[in-house]
Amino acid sequence: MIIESEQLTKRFGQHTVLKQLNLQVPEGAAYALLGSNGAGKSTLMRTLVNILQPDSGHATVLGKNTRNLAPEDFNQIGFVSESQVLPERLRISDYFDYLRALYPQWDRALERRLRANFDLPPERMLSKLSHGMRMKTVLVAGLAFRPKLLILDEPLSGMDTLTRDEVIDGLLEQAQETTIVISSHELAEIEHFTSHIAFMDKGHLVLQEPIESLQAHFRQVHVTLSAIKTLPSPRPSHWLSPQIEGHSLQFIESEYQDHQTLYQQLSKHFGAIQVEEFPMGLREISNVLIRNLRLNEYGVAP
Amino acid sequence: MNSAVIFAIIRKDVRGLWPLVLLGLVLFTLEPVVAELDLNSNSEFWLSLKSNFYWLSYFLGCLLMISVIQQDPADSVTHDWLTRPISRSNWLVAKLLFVVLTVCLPIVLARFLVNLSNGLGLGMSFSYALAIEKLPSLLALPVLIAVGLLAANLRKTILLLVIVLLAAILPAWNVTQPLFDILGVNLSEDFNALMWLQALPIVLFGLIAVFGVYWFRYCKRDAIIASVLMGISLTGLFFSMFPPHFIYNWDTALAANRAMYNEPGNALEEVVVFDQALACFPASTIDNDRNNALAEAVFEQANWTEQALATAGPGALNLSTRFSSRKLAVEWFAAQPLGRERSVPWLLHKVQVSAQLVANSQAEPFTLPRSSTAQNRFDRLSSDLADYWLLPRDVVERYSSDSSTRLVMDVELGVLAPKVQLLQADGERHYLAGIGYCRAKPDNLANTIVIECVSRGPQPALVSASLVGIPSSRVDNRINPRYTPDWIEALGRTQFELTLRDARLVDSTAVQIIAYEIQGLIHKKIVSKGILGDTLSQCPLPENDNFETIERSRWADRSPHESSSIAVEQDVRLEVLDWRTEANSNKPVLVLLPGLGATAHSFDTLAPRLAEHYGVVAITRRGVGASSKPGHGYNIERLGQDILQVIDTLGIEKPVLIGHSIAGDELSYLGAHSPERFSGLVYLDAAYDRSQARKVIRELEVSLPPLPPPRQEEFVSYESARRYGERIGAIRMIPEGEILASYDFATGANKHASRFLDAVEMGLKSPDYASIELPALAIYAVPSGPASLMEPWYDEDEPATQQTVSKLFEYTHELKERQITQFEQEVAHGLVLRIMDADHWIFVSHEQETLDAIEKFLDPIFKPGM
Repeated sequence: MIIESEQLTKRFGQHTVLKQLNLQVPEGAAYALLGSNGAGKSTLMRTLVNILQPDSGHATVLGKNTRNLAPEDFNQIGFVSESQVLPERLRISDYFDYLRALYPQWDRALERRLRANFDLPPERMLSKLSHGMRMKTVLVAGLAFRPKLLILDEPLSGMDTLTRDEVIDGLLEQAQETTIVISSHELAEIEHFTSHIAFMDKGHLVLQEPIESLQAHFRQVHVTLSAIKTLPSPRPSHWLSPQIEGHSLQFIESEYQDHQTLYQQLSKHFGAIQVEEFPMGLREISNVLIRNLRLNEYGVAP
Repeated sequence: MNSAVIFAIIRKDVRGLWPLVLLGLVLFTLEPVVAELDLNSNSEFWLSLKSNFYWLSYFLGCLLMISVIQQDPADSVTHDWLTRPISRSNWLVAKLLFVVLTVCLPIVLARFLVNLSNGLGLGMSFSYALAIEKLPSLLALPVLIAVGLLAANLRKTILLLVIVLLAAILPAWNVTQPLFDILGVNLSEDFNALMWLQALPIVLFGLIAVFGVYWFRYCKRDAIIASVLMGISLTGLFFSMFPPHFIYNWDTALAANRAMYNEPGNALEEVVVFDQALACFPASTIDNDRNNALAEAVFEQANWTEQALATAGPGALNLSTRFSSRKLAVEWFAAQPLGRERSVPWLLHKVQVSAQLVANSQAEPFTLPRSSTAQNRFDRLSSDLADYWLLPRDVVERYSSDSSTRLVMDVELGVLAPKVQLLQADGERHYLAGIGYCRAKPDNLANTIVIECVSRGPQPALVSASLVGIPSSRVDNRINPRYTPDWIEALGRTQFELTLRDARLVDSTAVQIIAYEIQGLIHKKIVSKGILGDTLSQCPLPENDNFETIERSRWADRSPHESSSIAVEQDVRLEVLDWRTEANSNKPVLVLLPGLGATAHSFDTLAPRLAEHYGVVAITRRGVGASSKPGHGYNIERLGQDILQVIDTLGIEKPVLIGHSIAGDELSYLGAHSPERFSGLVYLDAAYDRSQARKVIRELEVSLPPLPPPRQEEFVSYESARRYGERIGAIRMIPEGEILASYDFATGANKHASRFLDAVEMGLKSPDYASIELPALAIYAVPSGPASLMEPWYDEDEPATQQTVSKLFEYTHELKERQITQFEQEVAHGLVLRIMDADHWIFVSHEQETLDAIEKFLDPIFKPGM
């Protein structure tokens, strides 16, 4: 694991922002950290790069306790955040001159290519950049030294589609050789290239899974009932967003194993039925999860 | 250490802060230039700009320093640099280098160039440029840096600084004072010159703050420990500034400084003697009408705060103790260009004074509250010790009923020894050892000399300038001498300017620059009888007002003379007393000249008797009494010219000049240079060569007890003064008119400004007796033996006094005889008369003999036929 945390907890005064997180990011993963605003994603990421220190528990990054991350470890770690404060009075070219001196392994060719791709004006002052332009600059600054681990905190928020696609293209180029942890409040932004997905809610890590396994156990289920029935009470916790209308029941099965098992479970409750299940896209799964988190229907497993 | 990284950070910071860097460059370069500006403008704005320019650039320097730190703050979760591979040592070096490049370098370079243009050598210019101006201003730097390190931005910095400032002014707030009492902090205590000791913990806590915050916040990323350390340091700083009494008090402050300065067995205590300046200390009750002018003046000088008066309560006694220190220790030096030895006294610095009333009937002594707001509170180098105390009514009553009551004063003094160097007043910079480069620029129009010095490294405790031979013209470069040890001052550079007034009082082609060094700290205990300096019967408390107040009106100038004022130069007029009447208008005229520090009234008794046979006129020298006191013209040539001018104006032809004491020099000068204007010369204990060293006499005289001061009731009239004379056993009474003109009734001391008297002495030349062709009579007062020098107020049985008086006799006898012989041998028509055991005021103590001798001498001159 390139990132691993155990019972990671962070408080700001009375407010606990990270609640005993056990995070596991395998090497080479493109790990998407999802969650609504205020879920604790930024705090988690800042804790991982030792900008913040945990109150209890611990995390290791590149095999090192985050508390002990030394400046030289950042030769291997890129960190990009939407709220990054840059040396504003510098021009883009000055900024890259400055960064180039800091990293011995800086890839000048990559920098040049990325800057060209992103169409960054070298004479422009950092303080005069639009949000998108600024994020592209920071991204180049995070990529050009070819870090082993790239932690991106909401890099795509507030970007127009065109810019976002450009940025994602840039990221994809790197995804092969770098472990990427990327946070977002919308999966849609990043679903193309994620290999793992984690959901955070109010400081809890609700879920973390490789995409294949996630897709394997989420199914949209359509049931045609033989008679008008009500939902069993209590209903199984893995049935999400159930809706009954007349003879029709729709829900999302979050612990799908196979058709047989599903059929048996349903017929136990409803007798004679007709079942159809459909695989779900990542975006749909994420929407469901977020909706359910909001409704607080999902049984939380710490 | 990676130089590429370091320079990348510096480049980034310079680009990030370029407007500030540019402004700094301008200010830092201008600062030394502005400091050197010779502003002729009297505009308040320019003058205050000049004097505050340093602080302007200091402020900008601090701002730059904090800003460059906060380009990459640790107290942030968003700054780019936090996740860049920048090692903290590279970071630190980069920030330091930035400050060196943008702050230190321009300052040093500009200062270097200014130094060069001021004529300092290359090496000196550089080493002076490297030294730090206003070393104490660096005390605040560590705190500023620590605050800059701890806060993320300027807003937070300012907030933090405001909190620090508020804490520093807490003590000024009434509400917090009880809290400080609990903590044992005495806020009214002011350790003034000894305060440098507090600078050490201030620096220490400042450094703890800087390194603590840097290590924990930047290297360990632990905000909590960093803040706690900052808090501890600020608390430490606060209590270093306002130390609790149990940690830092007068005893510890004095002990530390003594340990540093006092060499064992230096016997400094014996060098200092205090004499009571007044027979009775002036006092008044605080709520009575002070109809007595002296009491009124003393109350005003005490300048009590309302609070102090309220605490003392109604009927309290306001008391002023007055002592004068005798200058037992002096340094002698040859005063070029005259080659005459002059003395410069050691200085005493009043560090602390306390007083207690002690009586056998009282178990506990009473400690008197002292006025810390007195008008003389900054006058800590004065040779006179005047302090103001309050005695509550009940204390006065308790102690005045006990005859064993005594006032015990404990005085802590710093003893400063002078080292004199002469600085040519040619406007060029000269190097003075131990001081630095100084330049003295005369301004003839304003009659001033402006001395300006730059110095680096360890400084003398005090630097003064004075006109050669005029100690009272001394101006000091600070109020309190510096007790700071050399190693603290090693990095510092100071610059100061001293302005000497009345530069033409003496030949000022050179001025004295005096470097004082601390010889040690001493403690003197002064015990006076009673409460007011003597027993209750001698010095009654003010409400038992049984003596008459001093009134000038009871004194009168009773001699029958006309007084006039005669111009001798533009804006200079001399007092002339004229005893001539219609009756003696056709008689030969005698012109009488008084001694040093005396006026024409010296002859108020002699003149009327001379007037029986001659026309008599007396002249008061410039600088004294009713004559003008110009800031120039005290050399013998000018003084001689003054006399010629007066006799010209009065149309006196060929008078006989009669001079007392120092007037002998005027006689000798005029006798040699204008013999055609005079008929003869009479020296009244006056024919001496005063340009010779007085060193031995002075050293002997000063170790003898001074004239006891008169009691107040002894100076209410000439009659009462006569009683004082009897009490002290004086053998002569100076004429009433002269006492009125020349003496201070409170102290009995001569009241003429010493600067003019010293100027006259400095302007003397050796008499050229060989050129005197006029008939001349020199009457000398000659002591017959040591007994005649034993003043009545000396303790005759004291072996030390006996020994001193014997030595004094031997020396003066030998000196006088040598001088008498010289007069006899060199003056062609010189006659000598010795009057044994006469006073120096020979025409007062031996009036008849003097008259007889003068008449006998004058007869052949005015009546050549007889």
